[in-house]
Amino acid sequence: MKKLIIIPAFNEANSLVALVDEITQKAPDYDYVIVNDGSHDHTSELCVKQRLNFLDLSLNLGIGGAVQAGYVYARYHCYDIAIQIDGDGQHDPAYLDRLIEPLVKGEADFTVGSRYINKEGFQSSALRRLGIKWLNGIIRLLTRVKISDCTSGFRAVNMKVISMFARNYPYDYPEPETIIDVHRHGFRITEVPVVMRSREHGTSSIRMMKSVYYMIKVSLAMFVSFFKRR
Amino acid sequence: MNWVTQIIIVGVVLLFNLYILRTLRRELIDYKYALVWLFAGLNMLVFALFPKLLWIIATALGIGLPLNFLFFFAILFVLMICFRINITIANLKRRVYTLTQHVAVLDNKLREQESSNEKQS
Repeated sequence: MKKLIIIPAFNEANSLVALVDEITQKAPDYDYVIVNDGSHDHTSELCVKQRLNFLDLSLNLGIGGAVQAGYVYARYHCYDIAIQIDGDGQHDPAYLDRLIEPLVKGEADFTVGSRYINKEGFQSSALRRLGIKWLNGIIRLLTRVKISDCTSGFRAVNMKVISMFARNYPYDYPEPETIIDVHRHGFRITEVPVVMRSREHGTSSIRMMKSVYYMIKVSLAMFVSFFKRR
Repeated sequence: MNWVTQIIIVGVVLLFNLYILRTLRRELIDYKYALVWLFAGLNMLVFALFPKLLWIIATALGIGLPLNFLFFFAILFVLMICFRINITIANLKRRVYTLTQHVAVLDNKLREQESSNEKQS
């Protein structure tokens, strides 16, 4: 079974080598691909020098476009499973096996790693948790699927969802929206408890000034996604 | 309307139409969009030549001032075009993204082949 880890990276050269080392130690049977999203720093040179496997996007596409490039790569090389992981060291590769277990067993097509099931490790700020609860509520309302950490970027999909994502993936703030997309296409969604670390490098893509825009855009996108034709 | 003003307006409108045709001839614009602009240009020409027409239509539609009628439809027309342009831009963006992603995947494959060639030789 071919398994691919997709690591989107934008100006995160400093944490990449550590992350790849951790993956080769803790999860040696997984392939990985770094998606360099048109970084301004030395990400590209570093990847060439260290012989890391990476996609070099010639334009900055944003998180959605970068992750989708990973799925395009996964489809191109016929991977059975693809896992998304953040480039900043928030997600521990030790949880990979647990995350893909429902996919391997054929119990789900799409799994989300949630830090709010066992409430261990990094829990984020109270305000963010409130925002996440609101978005979880919308998902529950529209799909009746119970999700506790809909903004988690730690997720795994099987081959069917890989080809769906390679064709169609939201460009900005994609996480909550994709859950509804996946559900609309009739795929099964499961959450898996994980422990997340606080960011070692970099900042969240969602800063204070943008958070209001973020909530409005994502909420609207989810409702629209629900009413899209298949 | 003063006939000097009318001549100036007819001249400007004619220039507008000629400009669209010239753009079309140089293949700087698609027919799909040029037709919309030509339609607007010809309408303007008709109204510039026969200003009375404007008054007749406005009264028939129950709009007191002919100018209001003109503004209403002109703004509606411009808004429609703006919206169409938004759709076109989104479409182009999607294509650029897809291309960028596929170029990156092929670039990755090329590098991999080169490095495996190096190992062999």
